This record gives sequence, structure tokens and C-alpha cells, in this order.
Amino acid sequence: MKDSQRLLLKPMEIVAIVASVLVLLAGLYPYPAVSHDLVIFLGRFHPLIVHMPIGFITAVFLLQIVGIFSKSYFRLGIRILLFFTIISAVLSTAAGVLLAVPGGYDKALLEEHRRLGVATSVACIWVFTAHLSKRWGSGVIYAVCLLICMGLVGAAGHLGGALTHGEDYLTAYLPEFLGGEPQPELIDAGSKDDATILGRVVQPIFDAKCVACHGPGKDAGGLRMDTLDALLAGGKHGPSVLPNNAAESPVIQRALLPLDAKGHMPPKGRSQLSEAELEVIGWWIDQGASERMSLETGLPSDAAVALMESTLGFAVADPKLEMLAWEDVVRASEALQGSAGLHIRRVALDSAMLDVFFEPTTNSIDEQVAELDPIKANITLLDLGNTTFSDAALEQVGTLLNLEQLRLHNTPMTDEGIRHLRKLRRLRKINLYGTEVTDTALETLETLPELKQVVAWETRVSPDAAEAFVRARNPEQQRREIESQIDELEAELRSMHVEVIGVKEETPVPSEAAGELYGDPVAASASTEFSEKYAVGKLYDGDIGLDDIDGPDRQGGDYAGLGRGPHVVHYDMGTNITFNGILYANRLNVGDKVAQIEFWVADTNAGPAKIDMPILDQAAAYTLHVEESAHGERALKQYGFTNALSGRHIVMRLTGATNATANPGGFELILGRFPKDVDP
Amino acid sequence: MDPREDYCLNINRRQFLGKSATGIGALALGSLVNNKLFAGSPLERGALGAPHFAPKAKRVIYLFQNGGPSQHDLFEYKPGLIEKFDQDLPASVRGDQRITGMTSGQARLPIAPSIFKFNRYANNEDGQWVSELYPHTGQIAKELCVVRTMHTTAINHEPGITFLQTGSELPGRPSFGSWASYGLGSANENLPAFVVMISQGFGNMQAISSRIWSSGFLPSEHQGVNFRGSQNPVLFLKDPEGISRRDRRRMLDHLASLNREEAERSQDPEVTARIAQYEMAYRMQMSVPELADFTGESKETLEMYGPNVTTPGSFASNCLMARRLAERGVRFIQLYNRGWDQHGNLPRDIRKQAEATDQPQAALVKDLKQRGMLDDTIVIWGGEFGRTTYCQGALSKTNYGRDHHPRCFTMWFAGGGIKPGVSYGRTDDYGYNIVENPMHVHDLHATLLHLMGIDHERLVFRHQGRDFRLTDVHGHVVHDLLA
Repeated sequence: MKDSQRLLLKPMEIVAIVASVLVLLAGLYPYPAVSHDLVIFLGRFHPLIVHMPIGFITAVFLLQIVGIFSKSYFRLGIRILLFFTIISAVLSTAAGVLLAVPGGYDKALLEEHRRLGVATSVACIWVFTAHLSKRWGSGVIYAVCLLICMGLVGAAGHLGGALTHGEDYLTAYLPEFLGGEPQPELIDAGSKDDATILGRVVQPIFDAKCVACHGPGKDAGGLRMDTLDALLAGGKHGPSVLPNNAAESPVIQRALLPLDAKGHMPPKGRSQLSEAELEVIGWWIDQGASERMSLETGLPSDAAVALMESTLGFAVADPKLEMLAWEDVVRASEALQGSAGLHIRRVALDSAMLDVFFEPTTNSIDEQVAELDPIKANITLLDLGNTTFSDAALEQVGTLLNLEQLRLHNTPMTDEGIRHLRKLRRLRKINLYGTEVTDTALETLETLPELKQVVAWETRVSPDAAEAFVRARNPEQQRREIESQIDELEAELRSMHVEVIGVKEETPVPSEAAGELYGDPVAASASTEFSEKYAVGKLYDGDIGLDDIDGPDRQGGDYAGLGRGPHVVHYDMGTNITFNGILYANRLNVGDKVAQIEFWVADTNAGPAKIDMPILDQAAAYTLHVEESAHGERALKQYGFTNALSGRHIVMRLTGATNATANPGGFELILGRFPKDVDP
Repeated sequence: MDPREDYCLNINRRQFLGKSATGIGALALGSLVNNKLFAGSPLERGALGAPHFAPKAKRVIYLFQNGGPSQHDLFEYKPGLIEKFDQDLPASVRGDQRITGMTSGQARLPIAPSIFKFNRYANNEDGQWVSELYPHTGQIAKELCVVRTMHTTAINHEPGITFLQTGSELPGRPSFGSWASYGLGSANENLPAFVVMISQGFGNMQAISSRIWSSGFLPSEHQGVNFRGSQNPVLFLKDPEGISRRDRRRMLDHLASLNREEAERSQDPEVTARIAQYEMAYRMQMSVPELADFTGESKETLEMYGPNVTTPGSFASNCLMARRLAERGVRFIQLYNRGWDQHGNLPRDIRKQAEATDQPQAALVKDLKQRGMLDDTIVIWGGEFGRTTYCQGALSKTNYGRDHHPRCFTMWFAGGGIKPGVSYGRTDDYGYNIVENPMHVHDLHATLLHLMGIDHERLVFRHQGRDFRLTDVHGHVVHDLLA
């Protein structure tokens, strides 16, 4: 009996085994990822509950230790504590499992935490069981289980912390004498040479306030914010940074939401982004969210810089170089030695700015440039063209912070040398022609905020890089380029269309054109100012010979409206007409060519021509694509429609060609009904 | 004796009067001869000390088209005249304006429409009409500011060119370039601040003389230095056989010390000017041969200026030289291209004139542009007046001539703070009178000085008891032309 009693499991032990198996199964089952609100809601109790079993079990452990010395074992107290440990551990495991379901954490780390967490729960169950048991040896089992449990709590807790705060959270600031990594050097004005806005200002903000949840440890919402690529790629709600558009970048929008609003980031209770940080991030995004933009150039407003400096705790901007008063310039110049080739001039009587020019054959440029130091604040123009100098001179040039124009053409200038110029925030023009600089130089110069002109003729700068440089500095240009690409694609589509319906060759209509031509409308109006040649009585004078449009009074003056258009023209023909084509001569200048004319016809008056007249909402009765070959030549051509249109009121919308720049229109536009056989 | 007393006694009545007459000029001279503000200091200034306000342009290249190019066959597109071929110029258009003796005796003044086709080139406005004679020039339309409403008071060459160059029809005033040199000083100690080059044209050529690039009453070193159209732009620069550069230096030093003695004695600024000119010549011994050597120019560059670029003295060669001078800091580069005076056989002669000028002048603008110099270099193109819309001599469908016409003519400008790619001013349907936005020669001078940072009303020189200006008492800056 005793043996069987010893061998047989007590009911309590059976319960413990069943509970353990259940916890193991439920805890380690690979759940499919779902993101039901309830799951997320319950899951988020995990961080709350998880601290309870940790506290309880730790208390048990401490009581046991104290018990050993005080010979008082607090049996009842410990038992109560262990009971609650189990309850809270199981609940916490359940919540943890739910929290892991929607994903967003580092997989390997999460799996380990899950296993250890489940193991901890199981261990807790057995600590309690051993404590209840009166079997021989249960004391030893209890002690072993408790120690294991404590170890598991520590390990699982640490992993949990790593999941939330990042893997190296605990050791990041481990002092060096304990074997920790040295801290990255604090930034000061002297060590910013290679600093980028992203690397030294923006990313540290993200690291401090965002990366814990959106980083390598945990990528909540699928978003990571520890690299630029990740920011641009974004998470399941799309990119978090839209270059050049801070206002619509979610990273800014979310931070600006009210603290209590759903979706506000960082979450309420976490350290929020300061006003300065927001401004700096926003400004960085508006500048193109570039990886390369450097700290010395293109800083935001002075106020923002001040905010940034106070918040970030280091000097961001170089001290301003104040210009000397003219008397001081004169005094300082007295000490200059100069040489025959050096010219220093006052830019104008009403300013103390200086224009410094070295004649091409001047020697010892390095020394002479160095000598300019006392008056460097006033130098706004510097011409070193056709001279020879070394890096030392360029280093000095790099300190002429008020420089606006710099000529370095035909000099031994290299990409390396250009790097010395990165602090010249006021530089507007730089002349590099005839030097060895390459695309790298443009990359360096890209960060200069005021730069408007780079002369790169006869250098190794590629056209592509030059184009990219211009584009990068000019969002408007980017927009235009995309638009023109769209236009090109559309033009391509149109030309395909022409081929499909076989409209390929139109022959100029001889003066005795077949068919019936309609005369002037009785009333006409246009959406913008009209050339008088388009007005009533002038549109068509009955003579359609080519000589006529070639005539002196027919050249160059006629247009359908001012500006690129599209322009809307309304003709009241006075009576119902049926027409199946037009005679049309495009304007001579390529800037004015029309690529497309859409027609609407109505029996009732459609009203005066406006760009938004209601009839335009309906599908066009016919769309005419004026083929490319007619652009830029003045020939009157016949365009046939697939089907005849009829009505009294004709509304036409003229759209300029891709490269039209102004006043698209034609010399002459005549409605007509042609025999079908001429109609392709 | 006190040296100051000594100095005062040295000035006799005649010298005193002479000196007061030059007044400010003589004072300014001190800072010109010794262009530096302090001995040994590189800080320097011209007569003004500095421009009145920040300049847009640092230098000028003036492509003077001597003889009066026919605007009707180059830039004035008047297609309406085609059907008015051989019709009389209406009296209402001519009004009571004088015409020259060359056509005033003609029985009638028949309209001669240009036989040349015009093309429209894209610019920054509605396009620029340029005749088929100037295809290369048309291609730089985006850089050009074409003024079709220039007008002048002179009707003949000599007073006309004198007016354009000096602001007065009467000889004796300083040339535009001299004023620029005087006001702003040189930017290259080894070359003169004002250089003149002449190219010969075809057909009827009018005389030009050094009077029009003279410094007038300004100190003599501001007169234009005329480079010859040959391999050797400046004569006698080479040291004679057996004379080393060191010998030359010593000779000049001795000569200068003698001249300084004379200057001290007579207080005549011309002596000091002579010292400066000797020194300039000495330095030009080194700088000019390098300047005239085109071997460093790339093949592409030479091709751009056209086949005549290697012929010294051609317009093409002078244009390239102008760019080289501009690169070396010369303030005012004055080219004269002769041969536009086409009273008869205009279609034949203008073809040759246009062919010789078209490619080089367009190349010059392009070349300056790609070197980043067009921003601060003004290029000016134009003659002393225009030509009539009516025919001089026999009119046929293929041949005609045109007389002088001062009431409107075309000039174009590029770079140096001038609005690029625009047209300015409008003439009537006959291209005879100005309808809109006239621009007088004085306005031209005022505007160009403005671009160089000079207030034309404040650049003055006292001479014979009164202040003189380039614009005399006239001139308005045409702000519409400024970029």
C-alpha cells in the first residue's frame, strides 16, 4: 500500500500533469496570424499581467531564503503566493500567445520567449505541486523546481524586454570596464564633417523614440524605422516617409494627431516627439529625405536650429561669419602682401562685399589664399580660374562662408577637392568647366542649399548625373518630367490609335476640294481671349487655297486662345448642319501646335464657351487626333470622321501637343461634309 | 625749404589752371595710375572706388556692325510688305522727316520687301523671327534680347557711329569703352582694359578712325588699344635682336625716372599716363603672344566659330579673340565689323556679310555660355543706324538697295543681366516708325552702364569747366530689359 501509495500519482499530481500538458500545447501551438481586434485587445494585457507571476515567484523565492535563516517557513503565505503565481502565469501565457498572433516581432526572439515563457508557467505549476506534496523528497524537488523557475523567469523576462525595447537594450550602455562597447562619440561642431542629417539628427530621434517597436526587435504594423530604406518601404499602411512631402508623410501625421487619437505615434505614455524634433524631421523630409544631406548645409530656419540644438544638445550650425564693416576691411587689407596677379575689389559702394580675382598666371595661390583670412567674411566672389593650387587653398576657400560665386574652371580641381566646399551654404554659382570632376562632385554639391548654377562643361560629369542633379533640386522639374512622360505615353497611344483606324496619309486638299464646306458660324465664343481670325466672319473667308493660308496676313497671328489650354470654342452655325470632317491647318510654330480636337454637338444652345461648360461632361461625339506630321507645317489638311455629326451648336476643345508652350491653335478651321471615298 | 612749400611754388598759374580744369579727373588719376589703394595692398579701385551698386556684368563685348545693317533683311519681319512691293511709301508714314541726299532726289520711294524668308525660333516668349540669313543666330534666340526700336539722331555714318560710341555726334568725347575702363579699372594688369579689333566686310565700306575709341578728355590710358588683324596683334612688342628682357626693364626704369621728374615739374597728367602706358606695353610683351595663340583651343571650339576662325583679322577670329580677352579680365572689347552700308545690290552683299558674321557671333554667345561667362558678360550687336524700308536705286524682284534710316533699327543683346529670349519694342507695319517702346542711344548707354553697376548720372568727369557724362543730360535705364 505504502509502495503503491508512493508509486501512484495523487490527484493533485494528475491535475498538475494535465495542466502542464495543456499549457504546453496551448502555448506552443503555431497559431495562424490573425488580427482580430479582440485578439489584439486581450493580447495587450500580456505586459500588464506578466509582471505579476514574476513578482509573486520572486517573493516566494525571497521568503524561502529568509526562511532558511529565520527557521520560519511562511508555509501558508508561500502557498497563497504560489497559487496566485500559477493563476497569473497561466493568464499571462495566454495573453502572450494572443499578443504574438498578429505578428510584428522578431520571429526567432519571439519563439524563444514563447518557449521560455511556457516553460516558466509549467515550472510554476510544479513548484506549487511540490510545495503541496508531502511525499518524501518533495522538498528537494520543490527547491530544484523553484531554482529552475527563477532562472526561467529571468531568461524569459529578459527576452520579453528585448522584444519590446530592442535586443541590446540592456547592454547598450554597459560601461567599457565591464566589457561593453565604447559609446559613439558625442557630436560636436568639430566632428561633423561626415555627418549627415539622417545619420546624426533624424535617425537618432527615431532610434530613441520609435525603433523599440519599429525596429529589428519588433516591427509593429510591419514597419521598421531603423533604416532609410525601411522608412521609405513602410509597413502595411504604406510608406511612412514621402520624400519632399512632410505634410502627408504618416510619420509626421501620426505624431501630430491628438495624443488620445487612434493611431497617434509614439503611443500615449511613451516618450513623445518634441516640437523641435518634429520640425527637423519634417524639414528633412521636405528636403527630399536624402541620405546624403549633410549637417553643415541647408539647415532649417534659425529658430528650428535653435530648438534642435537645445533639444539635441549639440551645436548644429556653424557660427555665422559676420561681415566686417568697410573701414575694417580697409584696415585689414593694409596687412596683405598680395602679388601682381591678385585683385581685390569692393563689389559696390553700398556694400562691403569683396570680389577677389587671381589672374591666370598668378603663382603661389595657396599662400595668397591663406593670406585672405582676415577679410574672408567679406569675400562673396572668388575667381581662381586657370590657376594652379593645392588642397590647402581649397581648405581655406571652404571657410569663406559668405561666398556666393566661385570660379574654379581649368584648375586641378578633383572630386576630393570639392569636398572642402561643403560648408559654403550661400554658394549660388560654381564654375568647374575644364576640371577632372565627376558625378561624385555633383553628389557633394547637391547639399548646398542656395546653389543655382554649376558649369560642368568639359568635365567628366555625365549628362545623366547632371539631369538627376537638376531633378533632385527641383521638385517642380520632377513633376514636369513625369507629366511629360505621361504625355509621351498618351501621344504614343494616340499614334497607335491612328494606325489602328488607318488614318495615315492625309493629302493637302487642293483648292477645288470635293464636298461641301460650311461657312462662318453666326456666333462664336471661346474660353479665353480669341485671336480675331477665329472670330465670327473671319474664320472662313470662302477661299481655302493653300495660297491663302500662305498669304502674308495669314501667317503667325491666329490662335484659338491665350495660354497652353486646352481651349474651348463654341460655334453657333445658325442652322443644323451635318459634317463629317474638317479642313485644318496647324500653326507654324511647334510651340503652338494642337494635337487633339474634341467635338460635341447639340441642337440647343450649349452656352458661351467655358472650360467647364456642362456639355463637356458628356463623352465627346468625336475626338480628332491631329497627326504629328501636321505639327509645325502650315498646310491645310483634311481630317475625316468615322461618322458624320450633326447639330447646330458645335463645341470644340483644342488640346495642345506634348511640347506645346503657348496659344495652341490653327490658321484656319473649316467644317465640311466630304464624299465618303476621300474619307479614309 | 619745406617740401610742401616747394611743391606749391612749383605750380605756376598756367599749370594751376590746367590742373583745376581737369579737377576731379586729375585727383582720380592718382588712384588709376597706382591702381592699388595702398602701396603693396591688393585692395584696389577704379575712379569710382567701386561700382555704385553690385554689377550684373563685369565686361562688355560690343560687336559693332559698321555701316548700318538692314534690319528689314535680318530681324524685322514684315510679311505684310510683300503685297506692297513697289508701292510708294505713304506720305503719312514718312511725315515730314528728313531723308538723306542720296534718296531725297528720287522720284519715288518704293517699298522693297525683303526677299529673304524668315523663320521663327523658340525663345522665352512667342518665338523670335530671324531671317534665313542668320540661321545660327536664330538658334541662340533663347539667349537674345532683340530690341527693334533703337533710334538715333544721326543720319550719316560718321556722326552716327560717333554718337553710338561716345554719346555725342560731335567728335571729342570719350568712347563708351573708355568710360568703362575709367570707372571700373582694369581686371588684368597685363592687358589694357579697353581693346579694339576691326574686321573688314564686303562691298561698300565706311571709314572708321581711332577717334571713336579715343579716351577724349579722360586720361589717355583709357583709350582703346587697337589690335591689328594679323598674327601679330600689337606691333613692335618683340624686343629687337640683342636686347634682353632685363635690358628692356632697366631701360624702362630709367625712362620712368626721367618721366617722373617731368611729371613732378609740370604736373601734367599725360606724363604719368605715358609712364603707365610704357609699363603696360612691357607687360603686354608677355601677355599678348599667349593671347593670340589659338593652339590651345579645342577642335570643337574652332569649328563652332566657323572656317574663318584661323584667318587673323576675320570677324570669326576676332570673336574668338574677344572671348579670350574676356577670359583674361579685359573690361571692354570693341569689335568693328565693316561693310554693312548696302545702298545698292543689298541682296548680294548682305549674304556675304551675314555669312561672315552669323556663325561666329552665335558661337561667341554659346562659347561664353558653356564657360559660365555669359552671366557676367554683355554681348552687344548692332550698327550706327538701320536701313530704309523703301528702295534706293532701281527696284526689282531680286535686287534693291536701302538708304540710312535712323528712326528705328534693330540691336540685340545677350548675357550680363539682360533678359534672355525676349523682344522689345514694336515698329509700324512698314518698319519705318516706332509704335511702342522706343529706345534711344542714350537709353542704351544708361542701361548698359547700369548693368555694369554704374549710375550713368554719377559717372562724371569735369572738363573745361563742366561735368561730362556718357549720357550728357539724357538717358533712362530701360528696366524692362533687365533680367
